[in-house]
Amino acid sequence: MTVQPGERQAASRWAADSPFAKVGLGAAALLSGLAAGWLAMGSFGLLAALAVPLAAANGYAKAYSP
Amino acid sequence: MLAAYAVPAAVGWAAIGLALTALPLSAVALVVAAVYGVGYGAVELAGLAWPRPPGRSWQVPQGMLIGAGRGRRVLVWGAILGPGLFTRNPYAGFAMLPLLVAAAGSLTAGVWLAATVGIAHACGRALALLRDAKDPAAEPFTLLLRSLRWRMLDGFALLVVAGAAIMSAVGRLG
Repeated sequence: MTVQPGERQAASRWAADSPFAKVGLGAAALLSGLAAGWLAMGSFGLLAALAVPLAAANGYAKAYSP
Repeated sequence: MLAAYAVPAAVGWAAIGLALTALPLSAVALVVAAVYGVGYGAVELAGLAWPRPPGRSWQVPQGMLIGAGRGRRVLVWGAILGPGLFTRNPYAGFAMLPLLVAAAGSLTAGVWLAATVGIAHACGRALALLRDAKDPAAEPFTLLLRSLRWRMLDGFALLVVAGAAIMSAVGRLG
């Protein structure tokens, strides 16, 4: 399989690809979940609200699985 | 077509919701969801191939579709791919869904959440297939790259859900 130059650029386009960015963004994601959970006072409604887009995105993204 | 995917998904997931919330699993499921979200969120974000997300490796056999008419084909695809429970799924986010359903704490809430989750998954899957039918198939490398991007996004989403699950567990158990 030949990899085109444009595809190589696309492969390195995301800033989140660097290890430092991954750690930083991962920590930010966890902290935002903690903050949202704290604001919702531990209500299950928040988890239910997160489950629905997670399911929809999972179904959509599965089409990309090789 | 959307209904062929959404209806079996709603029914299948509602049955799962009924089974999971009938058992006293709520608190345990919340703790497992928090641990699972942090663990697999980190794995997906780091791009590690191991541990693989829990799930099945089964794919729809061609024999079920060869010679079938369009209507039967849509029904078979819809019933199998809509709920997403039977075929391979490369993203760890999928196994988080039954954990969240089990954590609902009440039978009514669990069944409603499960049915909504099933419909959401089925609609996402059907929309992706409609998109693929419109656009020409992507190159294998592009497909792989997109899958890796989605895996990373799934990792972020799992960490957000894990954070919320931690606070919910603290509120419920503390």
